[in-house]
Amino acid sequence: MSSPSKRWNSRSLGSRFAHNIFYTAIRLGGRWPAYIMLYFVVAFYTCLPRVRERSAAYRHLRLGPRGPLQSWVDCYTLHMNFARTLVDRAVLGIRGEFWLEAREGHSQLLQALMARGRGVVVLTAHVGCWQLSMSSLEHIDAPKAVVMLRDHADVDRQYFEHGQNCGPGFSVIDPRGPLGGVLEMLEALRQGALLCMMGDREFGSENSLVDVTLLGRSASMPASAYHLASAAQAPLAIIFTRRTGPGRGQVWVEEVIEVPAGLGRNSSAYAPFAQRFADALTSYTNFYPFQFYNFFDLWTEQR
Amino acid sequence: MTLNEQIKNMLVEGLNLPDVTEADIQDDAPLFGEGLGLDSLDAVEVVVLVQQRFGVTIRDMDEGRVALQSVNALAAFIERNALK
Repeated sequence: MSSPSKRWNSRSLGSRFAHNIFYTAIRLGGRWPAYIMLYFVVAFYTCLPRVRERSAAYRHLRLGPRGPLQSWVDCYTLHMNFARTLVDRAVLGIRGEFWLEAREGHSQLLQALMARGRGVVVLTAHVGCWQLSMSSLEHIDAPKAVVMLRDHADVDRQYFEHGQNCGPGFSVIDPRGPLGGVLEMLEALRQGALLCMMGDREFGSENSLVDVTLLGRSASMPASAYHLASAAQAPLAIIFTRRTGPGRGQVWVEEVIEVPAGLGRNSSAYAPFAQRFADALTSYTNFYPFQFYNFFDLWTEQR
Repeated sequence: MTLNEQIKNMLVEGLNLPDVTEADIQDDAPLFGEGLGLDSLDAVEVVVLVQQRFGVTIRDMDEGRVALQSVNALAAFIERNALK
């Protein structure tokens, strides 16, 4: 996971100043002034071809061929949903308001996995209101760590970076650290932590990528989460979220994967597990096609 | 078999390194990046192998950064911690 050569970036479209306007609006008036501003901001960005292009591969695979107008509307809908989740995240950080409903059995399943004492790899994707899924883990009495890579130009704050209403107790592991942070990740699992990772974006090393089929086409996905789960003999829980309305979302454990020990260093050994994640992601987009927020071409030839 | 030889054997057999023999591994050559060319996920395997074969745990980044520099460094770390 060292020597990043990734295809995506987390650089914010808007400037720091523009973000601060939204944060101020939220502080003064709550979520609704920010939602209203989004109509203009999202329409502006959706008019830019280079911005629409970012999601073109996904929209083509998921929604099929569309005329120009329908394509613009699809793109606008996708951007608007994404922008609303960013507002929701800021509202949670600034005002402490977000209602995340856990599907039946979600918490009990996580508690049961934690009770094994080997930690849990929590694998999620850039879908729904994923940034807020961590808030559903706050009540679990265990150390928590999140693997997070941020670009310098990413000025959009995580909800726990707003300085109040935070305190989720997450430590952040930077995959650009020495040895890609893997020793910290392994140690977190040894200490029985919840280790949160993203399963749909690579952090750089081409050696950690495996080929999967996503939405019917070949794509590359990282194998590092499965590798860690195997080494630590920790269960891996795929957790998805969806935004259900203004300031509301739902979280659930989609699947639990047990990765056997002793699979070795060859990433291809982990491909079947990455495929299960890709299948879960494909199924997710069938239900919620406009809550998939990877704004780059996951399907480009990577190796 | 010396400890350094045991470590080289562990690396070649445990990591299943293609086209690398124990004789190819220099005692003081870097294990990661240039040198043996292991990557960050190999570090996970090495940590697990060291625990399995030598009963020694590399617990954190600070320990790992030092211990995983070379065969010599790893041998020193194992000797130091096996005594504890």
